[in-house]
Amino acid sequence: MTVEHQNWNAMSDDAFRALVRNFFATHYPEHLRYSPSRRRLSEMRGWYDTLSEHGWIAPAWPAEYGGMGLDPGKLVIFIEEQEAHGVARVPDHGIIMVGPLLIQQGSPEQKKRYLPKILTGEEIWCQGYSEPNAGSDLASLRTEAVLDGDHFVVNGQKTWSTLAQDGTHMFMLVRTNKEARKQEGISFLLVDMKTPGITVRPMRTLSGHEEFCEVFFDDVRVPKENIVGEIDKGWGVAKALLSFERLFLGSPKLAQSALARLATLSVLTGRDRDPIFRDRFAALQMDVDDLNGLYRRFTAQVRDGERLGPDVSILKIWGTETFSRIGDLIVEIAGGAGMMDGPSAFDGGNFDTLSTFYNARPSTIYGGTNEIQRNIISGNVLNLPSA
Amino acid sequence: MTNNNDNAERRAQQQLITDAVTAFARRELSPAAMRPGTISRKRWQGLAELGLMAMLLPDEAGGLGLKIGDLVPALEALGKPLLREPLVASSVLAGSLLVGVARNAKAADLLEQLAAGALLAGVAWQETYRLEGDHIKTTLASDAHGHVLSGRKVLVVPGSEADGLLVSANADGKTALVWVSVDAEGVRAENGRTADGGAVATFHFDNVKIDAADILSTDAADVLAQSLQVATIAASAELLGLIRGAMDITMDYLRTRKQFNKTIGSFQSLQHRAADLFIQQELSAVAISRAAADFEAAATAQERATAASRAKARLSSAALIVTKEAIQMHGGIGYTDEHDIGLYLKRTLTLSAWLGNAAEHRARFAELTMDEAA
Ligand SMILES: Cc1cc2nc3c(=O)[nH]c(=O)nc-3n(C[C@H](O)[C@H](O)[C@H](O)COP(=O)(O)OP(=O)(O)OC[C@H]3O[C@@H](n4cnc5c(N)ncnc54)[C@H](O)[C@@H]3O)c2cc1C
Repeated sequence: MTVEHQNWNAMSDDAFRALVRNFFATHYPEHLRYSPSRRRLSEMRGWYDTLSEHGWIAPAWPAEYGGMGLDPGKLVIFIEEQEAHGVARVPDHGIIMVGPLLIQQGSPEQKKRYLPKILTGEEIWCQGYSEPNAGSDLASLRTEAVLDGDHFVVNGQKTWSTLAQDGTHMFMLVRTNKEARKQEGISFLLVDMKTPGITVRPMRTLSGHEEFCEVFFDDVRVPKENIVGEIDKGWGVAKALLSFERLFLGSPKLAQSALARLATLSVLTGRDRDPIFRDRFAALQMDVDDLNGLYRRFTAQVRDGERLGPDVSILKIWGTETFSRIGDLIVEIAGGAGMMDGPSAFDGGNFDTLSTFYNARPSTIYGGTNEIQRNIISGNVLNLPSA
Repeated sequence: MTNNNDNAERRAQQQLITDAVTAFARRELSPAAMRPGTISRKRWQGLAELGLMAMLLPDEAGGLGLKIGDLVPALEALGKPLLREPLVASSVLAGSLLVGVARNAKAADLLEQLAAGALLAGVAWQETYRLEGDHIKTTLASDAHGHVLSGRKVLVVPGSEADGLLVSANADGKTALVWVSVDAEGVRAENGRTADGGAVATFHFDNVKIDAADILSTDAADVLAQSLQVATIAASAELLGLIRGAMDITMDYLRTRKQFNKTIGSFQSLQHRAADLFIQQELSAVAISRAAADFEAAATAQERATAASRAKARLSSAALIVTKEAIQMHGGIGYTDEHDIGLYLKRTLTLSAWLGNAAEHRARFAELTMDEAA
């Protein structure tokens, strides 16, 4: 890749914003703007390539690994402009999760082997943590990996793996020691999805999209060197990722783009002049603004090299529940159109009144349910005694 | 006291109907029956055989001559296991309209077909997505050459699956009601799906010729308003069934799903929220009983409208609260299309928005019951 690296962080915020805005306006495909649901790889491939060719695919990765190395302030601008332009997510488990994890904890060989192909999009990652009986209680997972020579043999089942049907690789948690205490016998494994013995079954969600999958493992042989960190120490590896994930899941982008959709619908319905609506919109606007403030506080912490504490859970709760309230209000002001599947024709344009509402449903479930996040706050932040 | 006797008799009769309906529901209704978007004419016929199409029809029209309060428990019992067929739209609403204009020969004929389960009618009354669309823009114009219907109606259930439509139209400033076949020349349907997968359409009427015989009324404003109120209470009753169904499934899940070696229903945070949902369910039950009683006792159009809005505001809101929480309490599996709980959410989304959502009915309630601001 011949990417001319620029010192974006040295630019003024305004200049950087203008640059990013212009980039999206110039390069992002018009027909993919403001996508109401998660896009598949086949639809996003072109955009992935564009970002990749310009060296913009990994805005948060350090420059030495091929990222843009944006500081949190610039990163927020990047995200804001991305949202304002209605840019859809590419399949980004590699960029958001595996990449940062390997940068932090991978072996030099693993970094060399995996990072470049994440940047080029040659390899697309999916996440295999949850199992039918191990959701909130993830540590009770039972998919096992048994060492046989220089391979692990993996047997078991993962579920709810987002877009696993498009994944070339999965990062997964497996049990490598059944004798040890729950958390202590788990390892973190990188698996090529083409390995014999893996079966992927896509499942439809409430909104009718094939967004996640069940993945079955039947005597799947995985090279021993594909373990990240030490054997039986995968829980700690995954936990480091968890704070990235909570930061990411608490990003204001969902709520922000939903608020923009709400504003659009309020104009289409004429509710934008209604004082009752304006009061509620103002409340939500401030909810989003303060979410932004919280988000910047936590990202600044990361920038300054501090570890994120358990209090980062408040981001995920506030972000997803604000998102959900916005989805509710969209349905409410849609009136009768709130009963329609797909877009309804208003004077002035079409609008899908239920997509935000549907997208809000899983947001309070994935990445640790909001109940679990509340348990973390009450137990680990407020130090309240357990029952 | 005769009043008490009447009440006892009425309750006994309601019980009989509810038992029959419950038995039917157990036999015929299920999430699997709900999944395909298409209406089953066989089940529609079955509902007619139960007498459900005819409940509100007067004795002389072959009906049971019942009141809205008698319909509530039946619709609740049908809503609970999920009902695909548009009983409220095509029987309660269409039926009430036809009863209201039954002196007309064509209406009497349609009513007979409806009672027999041989008619699936759509009522095309709404022109915008808002509940308050007082002024009807669709016109019925008449001259020496005959009658012509022009305009557009939205959110018509069950869309193109209907045999024909009861269309409201402005005829010289009065509200006419006409019967139009869905395949008449000049009728164009934009077909869509409701959240629950049911058929719905926007109908365009482009100079559609109407036979004089198919003009059921030229003064149907009051009948239309009252029929919509009856349907609004009936839809609320179906929502109560959905609440009860979603509650049963969810409480079962809380009792059986295990995480951290405990059933998740043993976590106090979920217990308290389950208790809150129970409160919503019970509020809903009393709201609808009161609305039905108020409606029957009402002396004025305003009182009837207030009763209908009371029911729909509470039930639309409560059913959404309950079904959203039901998904949350199921975790990941609740977000799949494979688990039945999602069907309850989708049916609720449909019924809670149809005929006016909670906010719209609160606004109407305020208008009807509160003094004008000084
Ligand atoms: C759209 C979507 C995408 C996902 N993508 C992925 C993915 O890519 N990879 C992956 O590994 N997983 C993924 N998941 C799975 C997700 O992480 C789990 O669904 C989540 O952790 C909850 O687990 P569960 O579904 O088993 O629910 P359960 O843990 O069974 O929870 C059921 C209910 O009980 C509550 N509960 C459980 N324990 C407690 C407690 N101690 N106190 C109070 N309440 C409690 C929960 O909050 C929830 O309301 C995804 C999920 C969704 C919905």
